[in-house]
Formats: sequence, structure tokens, C-alpha cells
Amino acid sequence: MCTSVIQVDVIIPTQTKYLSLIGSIGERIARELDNYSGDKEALAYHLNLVLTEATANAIKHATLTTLENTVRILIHIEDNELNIKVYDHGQGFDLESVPLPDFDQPKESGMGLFFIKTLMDSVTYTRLHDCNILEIIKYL
Amino acid sequence: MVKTDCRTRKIRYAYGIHLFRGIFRFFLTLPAMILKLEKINGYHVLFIEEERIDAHNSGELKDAILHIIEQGDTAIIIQLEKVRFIDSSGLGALLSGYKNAAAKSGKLALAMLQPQVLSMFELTRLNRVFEIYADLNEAFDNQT
Repeated sequence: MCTSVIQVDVIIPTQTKYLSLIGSIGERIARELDNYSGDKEALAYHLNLVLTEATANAIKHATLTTLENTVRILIHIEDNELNIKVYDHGQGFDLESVPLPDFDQPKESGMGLFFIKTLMDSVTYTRLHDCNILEIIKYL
Repeated sequence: MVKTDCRTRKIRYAYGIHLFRGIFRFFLTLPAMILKLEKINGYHVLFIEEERIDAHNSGELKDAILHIIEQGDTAIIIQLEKVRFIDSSGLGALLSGYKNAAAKSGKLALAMLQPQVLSMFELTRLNRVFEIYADLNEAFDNQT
């Protein structure tokens, strides 16, 4: 029995013009998932969005707090698990303390992590050595 | 009748210059995002000629809408037919425009959203904040 593995490892400069590139990689991967029985177009949009939000977050943290000028994004698919890791070198934050958006009095910011948490199955943010890792898992 | 016609022409001319300056300023200061502003049925309709709104260009969109409002034009419809993707910063830019228009007793409505773009408004409940119309005619009919 053959187990197919897809892994994409990308390093980009900390510039928002690369967000569309990262998002489009997510879209293409979703459309190539032969064994996925759900709505591939919805998954394509969601992966585009989640990768865009996570990368934009890492760029923001990197440019605000450090001189680090690259962001690494690792996408790994094996069996029915799609795993995304986004590495940043900022000060980090407490994922659990980020509040849900106030839907009755919406604000202009703070919806990015809500999208990631809502559309994916697991989200963690941990510090390892000199960098932080936002790990996002979607079960396919 | 002649005086009225002259005044109408002057108003049209003045508006044309004003519109031209506005559009010129968009292209002068906002080179990364293509926007088109037209006055239709008394409303300022901002056509977003981009497939994607994200953190790279949402700041420009926010500034463009703010610029329109600062000119005193607070009856605004954003036409999003060509937009296939919007992220949280894009939603934030539109929400900023909505709040700024409302602060000046104006209105900012949205028209012609693609289904997946609309789903982002539904997920964040922003569809309860914005007036969202299927097309421009429906938007014009419902403006008061």
C-alpha cells in the first residue's frame, strides 16, 4: 500500500506582496487532494485564507519586533491530516488570551485568528528556541 | 431655462474636475490597487478591480474610501463583483469605511459579492452590519 505525502516548505521575505503566493499554494494543494470527499472549492478558499492570515500575522510580528526578514511556512499532508506550521521570530503572544470578535460591536481588526480557529480543527502557538511556531491542523 | 442649463453645465464641469482629481489621486497614490469611482444615480460607486483583497492592499482600500468620505461624499456603494478573495484586513477596511460614513450621517453599502466573499461576511456576522445587495439596481432602489 502506498502512502502519499505532500510537503511544501517555503521561505519568503517579510513583505505582504508574497501573501497571494502563499495563499495560492494552499488553493492548489486543496484542488489536488484526490481522496478529499468534501467541498474542494470551499477547502481551497479556506486554506488560502488561513495561510494568508497566519503569514500576515508572522510578517507583522517579525517586522514589529525583530530584524528577521524572512518567514517560513511548512505545509505537510499525510494520510488524512493537513498540517501547517508558520514560524515567526517575534515576541510571541498567548493564543488562549486572544478574545473572540465582538459580533455586536465589530472592530476592524482581530478577525484573523478567529478565521483560523473556526475553519481549522486544531491551532497551537508554541515557542521553540528563538522562534514561535503557529501550528494549524485540518483533518481531511 | 438658459441660466439653469449654464449652472447645470458648471456643476457638471466642476463635478467632473472633482471626480478627475479624485481618480487621479487614486492612481497617483494608490498604484498597487486598481479602483474605479463613478457617480451613478446620485451615489458614489467604487468598483474594486481586483480579485484579491488582503493585507497587501487593504490599507489602500481603506485610505481610498476615507478619501471619498473626506470629500463630503457619504453615499457610497462598493461594487465587489471582481473580488474572489477577501481576508480579515479587507473586511476591516470595509468596516472602517462603513463607520466613517455613518459618523458623517452617510451610508456605505456593498453590492455584487461573490458567494465565497459573502460567506466571510456571514462567518463574522458582518452581513448584519452592512447592507448587501445582489446588484447595483437593487442597491439604488433601497437607498433612502
